[in-house]
Amino acid sequence: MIDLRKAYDRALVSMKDAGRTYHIILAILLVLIAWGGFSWIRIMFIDGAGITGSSDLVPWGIYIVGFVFFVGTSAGASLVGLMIHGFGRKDYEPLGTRAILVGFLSLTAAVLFLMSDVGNPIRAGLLPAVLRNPTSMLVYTSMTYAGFAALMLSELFFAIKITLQGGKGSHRDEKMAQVLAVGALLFALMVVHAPHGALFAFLKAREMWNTPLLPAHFVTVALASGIAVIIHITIVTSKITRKEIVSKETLSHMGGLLAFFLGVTLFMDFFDYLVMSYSGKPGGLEIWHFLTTDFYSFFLINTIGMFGAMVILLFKRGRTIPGLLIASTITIIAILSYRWNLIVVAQIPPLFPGTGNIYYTPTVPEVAVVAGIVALISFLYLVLTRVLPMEETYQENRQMTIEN
Amino acid sequence: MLNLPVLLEAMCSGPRDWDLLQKIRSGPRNWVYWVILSRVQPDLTPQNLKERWSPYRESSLEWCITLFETESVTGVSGIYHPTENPGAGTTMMYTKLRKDKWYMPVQCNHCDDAPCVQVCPTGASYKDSDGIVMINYDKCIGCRYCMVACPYQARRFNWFHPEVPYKDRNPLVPMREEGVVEKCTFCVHRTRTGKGKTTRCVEACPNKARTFGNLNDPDSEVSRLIKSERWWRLKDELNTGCNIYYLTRHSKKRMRWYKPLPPPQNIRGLR
Ligand code: SF4
Ligand code: SF4
Repeated sequence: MIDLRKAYDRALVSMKDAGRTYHIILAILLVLIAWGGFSWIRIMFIDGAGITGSSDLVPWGIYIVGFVFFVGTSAGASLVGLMIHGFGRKDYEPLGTRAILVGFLSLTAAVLFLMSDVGNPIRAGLLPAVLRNPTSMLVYTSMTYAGFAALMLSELFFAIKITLQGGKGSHRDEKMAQVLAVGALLFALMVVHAPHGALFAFLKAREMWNTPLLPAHFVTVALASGIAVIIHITIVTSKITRKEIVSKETLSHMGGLLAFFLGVTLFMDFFDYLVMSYSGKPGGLEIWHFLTTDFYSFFLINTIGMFGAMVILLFKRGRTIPGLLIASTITIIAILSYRWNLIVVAQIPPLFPGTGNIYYTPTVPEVAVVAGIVALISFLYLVLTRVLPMEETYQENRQMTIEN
Repeated sequence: MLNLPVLLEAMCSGPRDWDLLQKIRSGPRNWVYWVILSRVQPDLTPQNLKERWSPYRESSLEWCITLFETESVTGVSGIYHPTENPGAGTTMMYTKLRKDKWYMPVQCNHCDDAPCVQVCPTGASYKDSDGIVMINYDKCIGCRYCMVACPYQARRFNWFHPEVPYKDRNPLVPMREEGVVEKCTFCVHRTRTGKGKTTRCVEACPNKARTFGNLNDPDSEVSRLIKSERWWRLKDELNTGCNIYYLTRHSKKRMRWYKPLPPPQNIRGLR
């Protein structure tokens, strides 16, 4: 069994050892969390949701952008588990716990975003249990969060157990970890994320969402964003702690995977927009018009960013540490603008001619809540990676082998 | 937890509730609305209005919209609406049908196959057996999924806490709290009383542009109108089965064109 007292002492020491910069970052994050929490209370209980930028014409705003992005990341992060346990790539092992943490915290962020968006969060908590309508996709997606969270927590449990036993668990534990890892990825993509695409694809009122490609598109974007976030975190952590977490070859392999998913996404994007621009449907034409004129900057960041990142990653020479860092950062920004386009721009074209110029700009309290939620999960990530026993990094592993 | 038979039935029969539709079609009441577009006049003169109506509002359109406020029926605060939250009339959108602009009242169509009812996760939006799509304000979680699903922009969210003085409230209509969605209800508190009362906007329209009635009653005016074959419904290609019919009246006289209203101001989300 895990000795709790020892674990606690170890965590305390590890937090104390962390250094000044680490504590300063934590303090900044705490300030952001407080700001976000204050704004959340203002929106929910004092001033009302009216102080956000959403309106009757654009009912869904930046919260849903964040929600969709983080749901995608959480699903994509499960890919590392599949790599370790499904494909037996032991070189990914140092990332195991981190990837589960990224997935779990992203899911937490997504649920928090959803809860900030709804008008009555307490009632929304009853959603899958008491209140439900079998024809609504939102019921099924909200049901899946609990299952996905449970899967990831059990994954985390086994990962920690195996780590504590010195990286080599009992046969039963290894088997469990394997089943959970493969199950989590399938669950994440098929049960959690594809239905999120369907959530939007079912709405015939909005031309940009109402495409059968959307669920598949969501899956590939999810994988791309998950891998990009993990590459980014790995490289940044290695740089800060001056410790190689995984080898260059592993990172390069992840870069290759990212390039593949970016390629598939771009392929689908291309045909989606092509069909939209050829369809001649007024709504479709209008969205095409919006994407390429009013919101062209986001559209360009999205397409050129993804394409650029893919080109960098396609070549072996681009898959070096700086190249990977640049490519993953570009990918994250590109996918964020893709989500912005998907959620906000899809609601901008008026449903009737003559409505006027519909717009959506996030307000300060809204942005504060978003910053607060992102700060909260970053805080938890920073603390948990210190407190929880992590797998041996690539460097430690190599040093040990050399010493032996 | 999961109601398997209901789920299976929903999956096999598709989201359309045919049974309910049959019930509505053969039942005692099936409410529909008619809007005679050529009678929608945006700028009746104040004099004109004074003669026929109380002189609160300058134009009949605004009048039609603010009526909802006095009735405190629904916050279908539209493109022209006087205050933010307490609820104001229909969405008035103009659409370019002919060479000049027409003003066209758009509100909840109480669709037969309502996208909002399909997507509402809590079942707060539902279709009643007399064809009216209603919202249970005590169930609504304010997720606004129905708002993005409605092709007619008919739904309004309560962004702020409603501040309507007691004397302005209608005791027959519940106040909607902050954080729930609301829309036109076809004035259920009047029409369902069975005393032959019609909706407030039909009563109020100075030009008698609107007709409200029971389609299952062969003697009603709406049943007579539907034989005209000159009607059309908004976005019929989406197969929502609207229950608001627009009628473009045949007239020997040239249609009158009206000066458009000034552009709307101070509307959230609109520039
Ligand atoms: S018009 Fe909109 S709100 Fe009304 S029933 Fe149809 S989809 Fe629902
Ligand atoms: S906002 Fe309310 S009525 Fe609309 S879909 Fe959500 S729960 Fe249903």
